[in-house]
Amino acid sequence: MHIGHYISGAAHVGVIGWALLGSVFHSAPEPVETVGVAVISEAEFAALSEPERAPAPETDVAVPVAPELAPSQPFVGTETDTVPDQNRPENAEAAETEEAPDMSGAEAPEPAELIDQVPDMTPPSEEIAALQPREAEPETVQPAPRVAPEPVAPPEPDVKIDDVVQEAVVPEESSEATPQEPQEATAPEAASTEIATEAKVGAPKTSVRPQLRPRPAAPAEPRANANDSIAAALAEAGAEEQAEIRAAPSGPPLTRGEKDALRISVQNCWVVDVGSQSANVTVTVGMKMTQEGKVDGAISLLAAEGGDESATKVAFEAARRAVLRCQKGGYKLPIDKYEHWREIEITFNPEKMRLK
Amino acid sequence: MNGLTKIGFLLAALALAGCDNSGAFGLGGGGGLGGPGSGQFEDGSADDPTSVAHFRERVGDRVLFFVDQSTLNEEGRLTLLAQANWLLENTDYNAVIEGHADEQGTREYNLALGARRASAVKEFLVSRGIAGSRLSTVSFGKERPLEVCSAEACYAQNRRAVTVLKADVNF
Amino acid sequence: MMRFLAALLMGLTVLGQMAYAQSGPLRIEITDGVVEPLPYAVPDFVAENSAAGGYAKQLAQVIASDLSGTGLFREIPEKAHIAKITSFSAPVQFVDWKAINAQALITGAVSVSGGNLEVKFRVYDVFAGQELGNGLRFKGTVEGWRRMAHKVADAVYSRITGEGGYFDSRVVFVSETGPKSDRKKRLAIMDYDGANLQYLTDSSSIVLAPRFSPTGDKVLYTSYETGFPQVYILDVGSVQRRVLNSEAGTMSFAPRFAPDGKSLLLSITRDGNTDIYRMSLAGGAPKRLTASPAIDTAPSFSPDGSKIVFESDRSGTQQLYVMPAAGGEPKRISFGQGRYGTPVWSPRGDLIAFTKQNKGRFHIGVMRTDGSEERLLTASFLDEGPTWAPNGRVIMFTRETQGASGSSALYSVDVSGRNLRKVKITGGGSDPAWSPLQE
Repeated sequence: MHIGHYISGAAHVGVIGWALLGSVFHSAPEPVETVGVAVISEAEFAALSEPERAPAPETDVAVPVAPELAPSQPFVGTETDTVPDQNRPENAEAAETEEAPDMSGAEAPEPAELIDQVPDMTPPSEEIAALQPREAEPETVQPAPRVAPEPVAPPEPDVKIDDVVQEAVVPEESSEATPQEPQEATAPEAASTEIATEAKVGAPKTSVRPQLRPRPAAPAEPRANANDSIAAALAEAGAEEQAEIRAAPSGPPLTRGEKDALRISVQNCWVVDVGSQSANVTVTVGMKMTQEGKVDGAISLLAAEGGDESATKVAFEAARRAVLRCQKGGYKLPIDKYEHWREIEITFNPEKMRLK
Repeated sequence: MNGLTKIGFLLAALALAGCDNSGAFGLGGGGGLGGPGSGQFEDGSADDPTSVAHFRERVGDRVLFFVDQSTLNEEGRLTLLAQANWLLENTDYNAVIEGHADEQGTREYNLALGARRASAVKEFLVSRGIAGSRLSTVSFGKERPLEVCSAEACYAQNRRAVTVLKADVNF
Repeated sequence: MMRFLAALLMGLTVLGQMAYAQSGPLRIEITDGVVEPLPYAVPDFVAENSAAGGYAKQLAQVIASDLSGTGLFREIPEKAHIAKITSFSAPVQFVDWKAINAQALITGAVSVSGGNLEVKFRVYDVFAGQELGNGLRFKGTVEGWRRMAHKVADAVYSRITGEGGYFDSRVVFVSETGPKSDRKKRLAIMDYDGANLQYLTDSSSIVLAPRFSPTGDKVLYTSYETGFPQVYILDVGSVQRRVLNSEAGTMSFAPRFAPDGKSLLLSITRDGNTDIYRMSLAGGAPKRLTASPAIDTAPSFSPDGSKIVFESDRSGTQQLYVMPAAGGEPKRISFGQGRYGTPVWSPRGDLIAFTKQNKGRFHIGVMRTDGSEERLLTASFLDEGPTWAPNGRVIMFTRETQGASGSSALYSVDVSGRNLRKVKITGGGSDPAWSPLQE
């Protein structure tokens, strides 16, 4: 349709590129500048490639993806069960590689508060940036790579990161009747409860903290508690009645503890990018649940406030990831109260996170 | 400023400069007491009162400042009186006054601070009768430290204004 | 009365809760989350012809280096992958990537014909089983392959974070060699990650604080070429330079472009007094914007060009002030302890980065443009001179170590205070200035 434009565009690009390349540039052997003109913008590309992409990959990719969302899709368990190194030789004494750390010394981390001695859990950059001779690894002064609601002491250096603390299990030579699966030692990733900037960690004790706006009073937590418990009590009272009316298992409403369990499971997977615009957005998402405690179908965005479209989209995606990622085999919700949680709405409010 | 006060200032300046010089000469072995060109010393050496070396070493080419200050202290004023005296006698020389700061400050601010210091020196010299046209100022901020340790002993030496003599074109 | 109202309110709330408990969905609110890097996988790109073979791995590596370098993402190394991407068009088996806990997956393909390189890529949200945005393709010369990788990484970053990227950008800075008492300084330019370093000047005279034009093709800086500090403009492509303000007997420094690129702000010192001026690149006398006997310097425009933030010691110590772009009554915005300098308005317009000096230590910090919500991001013997990444998310600055053997280096830090890193350069460096994203 716009073939004339394409030709014209290509010609312009060519001419500009030639002009740039042709200019005398003695200090720059590599014509880095020339590249820019040959690279088309996302919008241009979309417009340009529409016709020729008709049979192109996008559509191919999208179609087979759908089944992934099927509720019955078996979800892989914890990392420990599924990570490839599980099929390492039976004999755990085999040559030590990075994948097969020495398990003998592995144990749950001690509950010490050592946020500035965290082993760097990110993959060494040699692996990802070995393009040209580099200087040493960039100095990453990052007291704890993870900030979480509860502080977690750093794990032993060779322990795999997992949500669950797990002792290493090494099959013994004189293995008995019930052979144990080799079990890699795991530990939760080290975490501090606040973002430990250098200014906070490295500054001398006498240094004055930056002034923050007065911290907003904690969201009326106590009142909410009171309401919750009153509601729970009242609801419990009327629950029997309700149970008779409904056919599906209903039972009494969820207790505060049961709700908290769900809240904590989800919040452990809710990753907030505190420096971004999306950290200003509160989103509420809704979902249907299967009786196994897994999300049934798509998660929908019910409400959002505090940001533009793009920030909202990112906030929603982060919320969705939190729910989907932490459901694992299914959220532990009481089956006898299924009627109370077959639909769930979760509000993700990052306000508290921004102040960390 | 009328002529009388000017003379008064000049006399005061000479008197103070004399004090300062005698101190310096004391250290130098008292060699400079003879009149200029008397042949008692090597030309151009610090003993030659008309030499650049003399200005640097005996008169004193620099004044120091307190932290984040550009006001001249007592010691600095004495040095500058001697400088003014020397410049009045040696009219073949012009001077560039270089202002400096220690490393404890941001780059731009230190440039401006160095300029203030250089300017304070220039104003003082002008007030003692040196023609403004003979003096120019420049600031190096914290770019050219004299001492490189990161301690007050070094910083104190770096917070300075140095009067650098330039021979007049025809000299 | 209040009690009654409260009771009523409580009653209503309880009723509401009862209603939810009996028929509505279960509602919970989450206010606590985690701050941690998002795990992703970027398998080697698929080489679509043999000439592209050499780039397939390198592209993936640069993309991974960009993403992981933000501290917001963590690469799952290839050796942990249980699947390979052998075809760009084949459907992705999300289960293979969920299994290794990859939350995002980036696939790509590369082909080379003649001197040209074509790169295609897709980004997937693994747990949602969806592609994020549509596939995209970039074309360029083979020499520019790193830029192609940066462009891909920028697009990926943008799709996951919802914000603009910054990887396809450059940094101009002062390269430093030699001892502290005789530092040799010269202007240098490099990719944001330290690659493709080039020198723009020799080291025969001191050069300071270069600043990019809004289009990234020109640089303003201060040089002692004549023995006095004066502001120069340099064309990055041709390395041609000219002095902008050569008034005899005055010093000029601390230049910065206006957002329109047609004029600049700078400091001029007359008779020891430093003020802020604006001058047109087309020529003409500088117009004075401040008129106090104090030191007024380090000006920076707001991105919309309507305001100027600068530092002044008119109160007795260095503090930050904001004034209208045409000059006028400045309003002080910094009130914490210590001295504040080198303010820089973020390209997003929401924050001002600054250097703070307090109790013998230096900090890089940010505050809102009205001075509220001050946050210090770093602390060291000497940090100064922040510059913003084009997306307003990362700050680069100079860090000088103490003592006779002290040297300066470039560091970067996320605006949240996380992910402090030393930028990889050869030798010392100071006064970085980040370019806009390249076209």
